[in-house]
Amino acid sequence: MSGCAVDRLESFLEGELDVAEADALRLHLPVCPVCTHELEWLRAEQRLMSLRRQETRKVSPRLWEGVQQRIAAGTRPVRRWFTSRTRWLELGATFAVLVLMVLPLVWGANASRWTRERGDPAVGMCLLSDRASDRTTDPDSGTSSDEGPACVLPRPAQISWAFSVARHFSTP
Amino acid sequence: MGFLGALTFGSRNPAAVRDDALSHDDPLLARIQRADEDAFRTLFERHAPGVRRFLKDLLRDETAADEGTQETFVRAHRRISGLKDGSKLTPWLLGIARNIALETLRARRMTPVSVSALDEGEAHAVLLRAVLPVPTPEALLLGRETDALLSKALATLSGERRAALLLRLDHGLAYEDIARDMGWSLQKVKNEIHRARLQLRAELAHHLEVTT
Repeated sequence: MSGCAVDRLESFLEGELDVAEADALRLHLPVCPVCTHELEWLRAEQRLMSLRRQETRKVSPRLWEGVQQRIAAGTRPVRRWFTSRTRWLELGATFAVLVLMVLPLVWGANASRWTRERGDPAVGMCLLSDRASDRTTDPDSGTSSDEGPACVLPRPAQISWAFSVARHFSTP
Repeated sequence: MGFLGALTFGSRNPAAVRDDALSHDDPLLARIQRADEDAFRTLFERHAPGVRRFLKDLLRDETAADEGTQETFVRAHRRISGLKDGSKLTPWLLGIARNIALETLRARRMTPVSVSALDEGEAHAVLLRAVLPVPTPEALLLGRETDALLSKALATLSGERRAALLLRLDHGLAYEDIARDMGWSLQKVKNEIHRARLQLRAELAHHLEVTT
C-alpha cells in the first residue's frame, strides 16, 4: 500500500476490510504517522463512547411505567360518560324503551278507570289514544261534549312512530 | 501511556461496541408484532438507554429527554407493525427520537443551528487545530467526568452535525442509515461526520490543555 488509507481506517477497525486490504494496512501503519494518529483517535473515540454507555446503561423504571400508561390510554381511551355521543345514544335508546314499556301501563290504568266511570267496555282498548281526542265537538255551537268516547284502537301510525324513535336512538 | 493510549487500552472492536442486542432484534420484532407485551418491554429495556442518551445529547435537558424517550416508545408501539426488518430497529427508533427532538426544539422556538449556517472560516480553523498534538491527562477521562467532558465538547457542535456524529459514534449506525434518517446524501453524511469528528477532537484537546 503506497498512499495513506485514512478513509479506510474505520472499516479496518470494524473488521470490514477483506484480509488482503487489512494486511496491507497493517504493514502501512508503522511507517505512516498520519494514519497511526488517526487510528489512535478513532480508538479513543470508541473508548470514550464506551465509557459513556456504561454510565448510562439503565433508565429509571418510571419511564417504562409512563410508557405503559400512555400506551394503555391510547388503546383504551378513558371517556367521560356524558361527553361521548355513543353514550348519549345508548341513554336515549334505553329511555325510549322504558317509555314504551311504561306508557301502555299508565294509559291502561286510566282507561280502566274511564271504563268504570263510563261503563263503556270499548274504552278499555284505547291504549295509546289521546283522551282529549275522545271528546266530540259540535261544529255549529263550537262546544264540546262528553258523549262517550269515540274510541280508537291503538293506531298503527302511533306504534310505527314509537318503533322508529326507538330505532333512531339505538342506532349509533 | 499517553492520552490516546489510555483511551485505546481495553477498547473493543466498534462492531462489538455497538449494541450487542442488534443481532437479536429480529425474533424480538416478530414477537412484538404478535402483540407480545413482554417482548415490547424487552425492546424498551434494550434500547431505552440509547434513545434517552441520544435525546439528552440533542436536547441537553434531562426532563425533556425523559419525556422524549417515553414518546418515542409510545409512537414505536403504535407503528411497529409496519416495520419489516428487525436489524433496522435501532435506526428506526433513533429516527423517531430525532423527530421528537426536533418537534421539542420547535415548540420551544429553539432552532437547531444548521450546518450551512456555520462560519466556514471558523470550521477551517477548527480543522487546523484538530491536527495539533494531544496532551496526556489519562485520569481525567477514566471516571465520572467522561460524560461531562464529552457533553461539553458535543455541545459545541451544531444540532444536525451533532446528531449525525452521535448516530455514527455512539449508536453505531451505518452511513446509509444515517443518510436515510437525516435526509442527506451519503457524501454529505460522510463530510459532516468527518468535520464533526475533527471539531470534537479539537474541543477535547482544548479542554485537556486548559485543565492540565
